[in-house]
Amino acid sequence: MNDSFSWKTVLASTILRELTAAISGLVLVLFIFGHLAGNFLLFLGPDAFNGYAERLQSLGPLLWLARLVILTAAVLHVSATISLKLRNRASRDTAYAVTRRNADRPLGTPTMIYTGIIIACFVILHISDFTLADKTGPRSIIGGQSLGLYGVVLNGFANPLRAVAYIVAVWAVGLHFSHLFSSLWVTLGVLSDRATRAMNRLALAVGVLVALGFTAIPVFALIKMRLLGG
Amino acid sequence: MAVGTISLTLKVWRQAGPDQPGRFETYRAENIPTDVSFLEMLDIVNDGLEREGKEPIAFDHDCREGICGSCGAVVNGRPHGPRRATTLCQLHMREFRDGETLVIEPFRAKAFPVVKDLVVDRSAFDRIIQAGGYVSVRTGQAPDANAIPVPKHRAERAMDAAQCIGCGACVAACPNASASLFTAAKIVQFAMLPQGHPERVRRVVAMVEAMDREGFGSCSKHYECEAACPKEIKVENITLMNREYLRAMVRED
Ligand code: SF4
Ligand code: FES
Repeated sequence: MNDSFSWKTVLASTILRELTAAISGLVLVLFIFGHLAGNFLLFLGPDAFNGYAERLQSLGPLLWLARLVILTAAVLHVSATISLKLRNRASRDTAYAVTRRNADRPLGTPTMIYTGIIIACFVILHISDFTLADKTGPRSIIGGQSLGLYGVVLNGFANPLRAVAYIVAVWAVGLHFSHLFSSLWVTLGVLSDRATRAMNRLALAVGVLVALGFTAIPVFALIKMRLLGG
Repeated sequence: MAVGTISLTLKVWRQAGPDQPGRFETYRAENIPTDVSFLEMLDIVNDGLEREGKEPIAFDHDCREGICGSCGAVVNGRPHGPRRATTLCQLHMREFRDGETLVIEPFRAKAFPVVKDLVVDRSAFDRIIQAGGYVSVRTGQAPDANAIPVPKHRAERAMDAAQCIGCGACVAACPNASASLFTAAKIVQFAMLPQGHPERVRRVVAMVEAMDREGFGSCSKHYECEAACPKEIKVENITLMNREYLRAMVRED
């Protein structure tokens, strides 16, 4: 046995990379929940929603700090998971002729890489759609009047194609999250066998709940813009 | 139950040596009594092959009573075949239907290179054990029995983990070819007991390092290992291994 404890060994280990993926995933999820909660203000109309957006903007350096944390988490998450994925693919060089899943697992686990890629593409689209949008420009105008970011969001989702793309993406988020919710407890080494299995059973339902929450926003915008005419 | 017989079609991975190309060969297994084991079925098929002057199918085996961990192959996508908590040597042919086709492959992992046909080299497991799967004991007189008290729940966890026979089915079943379940079982059996304490911190770091060095994948929590394990080693052991690892990061030895 190696006599001295070495941080170099620990930092290179697969266990630490799994842990990095899980904790950075957790940070991103916490952000996403906050983001969702804020966006629910959309239902209360332009004043509530734009007021919230402006308050966020007025945080100044604090906002940038939050962005830095989120960006760091995203970079860690992507690099840890991609490096693990590459390693895990290489660890079986000859494929089985017959493969089958014998364990009863939530759908999220085997689809992580696909939902992850969808989410990564979605984030880029999402930032260019809203974060970088001109909040007083033509895209904010509803009924001849600029409604700020509220208008941008509603106009954005008035396009059914974009609404559908968002809905697909948020279901990917839900599925992706369901894996985190089921696997986190093993990675962190925290829960008992029974509690972990209970989390596994809950995972898909929790993922669906998250997806439904996010689906509500484009559906709300679509109904308001298309059926109620803005 | 009356003993019947069944006939099967076998598609078996044949590979002459480590660096040789392999391929599936099809054989008939005629009139196999349903009360023989899977390995005995292969013995019968091999007798036939030898009579025809052909090379018999190579497979690992030793105890044939489910305790040594030598046997193992993947049958229709399941390591050790379809019956849960059962090694291939303990699997009876009554688990199969007459006329079935069985695809029989070696355990697949880069860290388990094929030696011949269904025989794979699992010495990577030995090297993980060498890295820390032992305890230090005092020389001198034998200690009194029961001199060291062990809480019951810890003893049970240690004994459950110690059931692992090192067969490698967990690696074979894992989509990542991860050896986490095996390594975890070998770490936990010592971590739970006072006898394993002197090396507790170094052990987990060294064994995980050895596991990574052999080229096994990481644990993505697919739970396939647990479903395949003939000794019903639980994923809980991986939770405990991760806990040990975190503990090693914050504690001095
Ligand atoms: S954990 Fe189970 S499947 Fe893996 S080597 Fe041990 S006995 Fe075999
Ligand atoms: S031959 Fe020993 S466990 Fe199967």
